[in-house]
Amino acid sequence: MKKILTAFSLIAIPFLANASSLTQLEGSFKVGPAIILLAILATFILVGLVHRAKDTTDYYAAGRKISVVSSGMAIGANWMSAASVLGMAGMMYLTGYNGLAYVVGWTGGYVLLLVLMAGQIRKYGKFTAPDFIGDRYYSQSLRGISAVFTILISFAYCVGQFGGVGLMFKWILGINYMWSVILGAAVVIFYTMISGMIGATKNMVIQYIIIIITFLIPTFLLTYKYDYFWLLPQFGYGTIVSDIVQGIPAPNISDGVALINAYGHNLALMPSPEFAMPWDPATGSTFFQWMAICFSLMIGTAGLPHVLQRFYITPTIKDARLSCVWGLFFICLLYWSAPIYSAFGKILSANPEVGNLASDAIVIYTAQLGGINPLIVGLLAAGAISAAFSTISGLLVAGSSAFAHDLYVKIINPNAKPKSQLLVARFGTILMGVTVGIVAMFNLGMIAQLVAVAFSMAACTIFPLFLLGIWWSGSNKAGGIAGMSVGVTLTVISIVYFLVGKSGGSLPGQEFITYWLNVWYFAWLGAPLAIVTNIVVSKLTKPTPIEIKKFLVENVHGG
Amino acid sequence: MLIVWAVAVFGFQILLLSLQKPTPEKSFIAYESVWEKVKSGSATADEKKTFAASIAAVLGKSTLKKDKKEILANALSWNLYGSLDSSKKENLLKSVQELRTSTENLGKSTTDDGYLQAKESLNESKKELFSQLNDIYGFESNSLEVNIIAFNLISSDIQQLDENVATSLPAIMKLYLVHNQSFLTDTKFLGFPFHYFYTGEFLLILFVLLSLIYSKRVEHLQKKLNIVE
Repeated sequence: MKKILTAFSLIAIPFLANASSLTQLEGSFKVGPAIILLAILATFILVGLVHRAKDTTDYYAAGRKISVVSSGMAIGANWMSAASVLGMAGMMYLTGYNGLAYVVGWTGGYVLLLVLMAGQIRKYGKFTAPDFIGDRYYSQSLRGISAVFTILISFAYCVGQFGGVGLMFKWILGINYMWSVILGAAVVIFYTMISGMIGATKNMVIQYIIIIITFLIPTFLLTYKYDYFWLLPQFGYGTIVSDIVQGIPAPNISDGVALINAYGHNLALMPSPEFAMPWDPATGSTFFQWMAICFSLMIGTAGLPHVLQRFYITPTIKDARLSCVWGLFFICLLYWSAPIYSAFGKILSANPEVGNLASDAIVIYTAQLGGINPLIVGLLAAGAISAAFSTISGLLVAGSSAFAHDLYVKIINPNAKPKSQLLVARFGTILMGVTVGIVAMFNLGMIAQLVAVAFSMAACTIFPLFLLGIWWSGSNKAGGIAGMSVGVTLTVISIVYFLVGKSGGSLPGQEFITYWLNVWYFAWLGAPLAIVTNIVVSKLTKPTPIEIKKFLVENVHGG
Repeated sequence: MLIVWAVAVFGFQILLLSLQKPTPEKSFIAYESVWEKVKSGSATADEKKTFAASIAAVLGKSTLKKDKKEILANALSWNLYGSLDSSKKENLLKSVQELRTSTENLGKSTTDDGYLQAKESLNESKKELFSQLNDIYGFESNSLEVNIIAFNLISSDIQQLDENVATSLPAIMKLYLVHNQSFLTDTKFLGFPFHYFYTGEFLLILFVLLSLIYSKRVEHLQKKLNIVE
């Protein structure tokens, strides 16, 4: 039954859709994409119901029944959020080469994760990040703080995702942004609540396939239509980048046919080297910012609780490593392709009649401007929502796990029965989903930037504890607390300055902090500082208990 | 392995930084050659055309900020209107206003019929204005420059160059028309500028390869040392 349902969901979805005409980029209700979206959401919920969590082990770790490739796809789907599908192309459309800091940062971090964490986390055999931290640092307070930060990191990450869902619901349904966020939030909370991670993991495999297919099809069509190397668009778009740098004079004629966008404008643009040149002054970015963003995203990747949590659910340690490799490959398939949209977006929207476009929706606008069949554009939008949903459900599970497992059971009520624990987890999911939805309505920044906040938070707080906790037995409770305090302090400073700046206010050194400790990349300083503090304080205080050292040697690094 | 990873990512960016030189676009060189004459009001028709084309080169960039766009539009409009007699100027201003109205109407249209009507009206306005601009400047028909100039002209007469515009313009032109380039950015590889290929394509391939090699190496070592996980 389950297999039939899964196969059906993959085959039937495209046929459930209806074509519709799209005469404008925004503003109207789009029937075809709306039907596709409904069909996909119904499938997710159906699969979630069939595979719903039966107990807490199922809820937290999907019963460790997942194959390596499936686990890799689940890692991919869990990772490939609205920030990957929508935000990254948007950043590159707006800031050119600087956007590549996000591409490199979000993939390079997996190498760190694999080498430093994946196998060791699986060996440690815990369910959540605070579980590991609490045990390794033999500290209930560190367990509590890391649980709170797990919730905050998931929260910050979710804000960007809800923003993406809002944008896509707005585009499809033609309703305003606020109602789009409310509707999207309601659906994703309902789905996560009834399915838990086992439903989510099954769904994630389906979601990955939907996301990647819907994302890749338009890239082939666009490169074919506009006479670029279409057999492998991931390499074929290089000529587009060079064309953008050199400019394309009008009219642009290929084989006797004028190349035009969906509105009949010539496919022409002024030379725009700022799109490809490094840290171009015209984009307002600097070399330091490129490096700081890239570094913060990389180490943030290796500290994100919902990403780390995926390695607990592989059957073996070897599988944890291979899942990571597969996951990275599946993620790269999308990351090699996202710049295609930004490059095409640049030339298709160059005509002044097109006007200013919302960068975060450039993937969809590019497909529309390129005259791609509305049905395929609808699938692309539904794929983007799918990406946001898969990540949100993973984040809500991670957040609610921290709430129910690490705070409620381990600290507040150690005698809690599994049933009440599940109830608290579901309550946590609703509470977090609703609060994130409210914050997302304020539209605080671009999707990729909002998500980057979560990475810097994770890099400053969770990453140092995992890194030193696994690799240096000398790191002790006092060192952990001191390092965490530094990470938390820098996080608070950066976020407070950001919020004050956003509200139009100013604090002492506002400009200095906004540049050097910007909320999108403050981990460049926060993470190294937290690590150094941890080491120094650990050296100066009572050594780690022998049983912890023994456990590390025998269970985490040993055979 | 982590050293290879770090050098490949950050080492290359440092190399890019150390090799880069500020490199102007052709439009910037052209702009610099005529700006003083344009500013003093002694520019010839050809020099005014060169100036308009260089301003259009910046106005055509999507990274342009709104406040800077206003300054450029102001300079462009002053440069154009100042060289016309009153009847030509009146016609041109009328056409600019019509284009603006047609564009707004297109944005407001909610039905397919309304959209098509507004589109037709916009095409008429464009045709008229483009023809006048081609007569004045002598750009090629349907050129991108004319398109950009038409959509950025201010619809009221500007008789004097604003002092703020005159002082801000050189910095804006430099900001948008001078780029960090080196042989790494100017060399092509598979159609890409090399540095773009390296960062956007090669590094990702390298990450996957490094991960695979690491996993296989650990597996091999564990077998060799008889370690059972």
